[in-house]
Amino acid sequence: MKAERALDAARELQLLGGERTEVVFHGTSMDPLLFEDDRVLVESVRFADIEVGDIVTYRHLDRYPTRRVVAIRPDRVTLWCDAWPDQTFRADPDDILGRAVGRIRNGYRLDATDAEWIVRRDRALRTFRRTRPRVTARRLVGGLRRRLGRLLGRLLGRERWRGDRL
Amino acid sequence: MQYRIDTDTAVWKIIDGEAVVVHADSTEYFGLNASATALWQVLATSTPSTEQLAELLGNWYDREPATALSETIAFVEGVRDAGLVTEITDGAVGSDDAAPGNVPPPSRSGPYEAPTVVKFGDLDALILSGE
Repeated sequence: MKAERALDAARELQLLGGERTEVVFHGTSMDPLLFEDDRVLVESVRFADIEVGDIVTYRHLDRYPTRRVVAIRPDRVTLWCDAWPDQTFRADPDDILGRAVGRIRNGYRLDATDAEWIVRRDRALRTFRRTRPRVTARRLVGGLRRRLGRLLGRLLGRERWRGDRL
Repeated sequence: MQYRIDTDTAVWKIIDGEAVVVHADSTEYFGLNASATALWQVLATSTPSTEQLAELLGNWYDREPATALSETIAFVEGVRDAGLVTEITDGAVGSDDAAPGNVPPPSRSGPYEAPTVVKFGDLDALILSGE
């Protein structure tokens, strides 16, 4: 077995090996709930048990993004970062490795069942629902613009072609 | 002497017939080749002795009994020294501990290699990406 493949498998085992694993969080995307260097408690989860509002860790290339679930379909979940309201992400059910069930910061542990976690979850979902129409509208406008541009290009091209024939 | 996998410390995954095993405490991770993985799967479901493992290895791969035994001893010492299996003394064999039954031969995809366990390295602390 190649060392790289073994390392990938070993990392997944490291994350899912126990029922609950403590891992380091890196980045700013989940501010303020998860900060740089927070210890995050991740436990393995069945896809059927994932709920909107959960924070999940999934496999993406050689990384393990950790984001909030904002929509669930049988074939994929849509994810969002509390601190990045303009972007959404997608993950296949097979790539989801675990769910964050707690955080340790400065020796203080916060569980996903604690009021602070729940308040932040609800606030994040409200923000997502509020900003989503704006993002959707911006995407729609962008998509329409691109389609219109392609259509115009095609029409102009055709006119030019017709002109050549004439 | 019988052996069992120390499931408190060893977690594993089999990919294309070869196992990757992580020692949960030391974070060392190991690779088992195909024949070692076949023996590992026996260890995962029973508490065999070295002789029983050697017999299975000999049957599966047409090995001379003496050769199969020496190869099995080397393998068992390897996984034992890595802390992945524990020895069970005769007095400690419980009712849940079973000898290997009629284990079917593993599917073969290449030439035979003696069972080996290779240490790949140590895992760093896992980092969740929030970038």
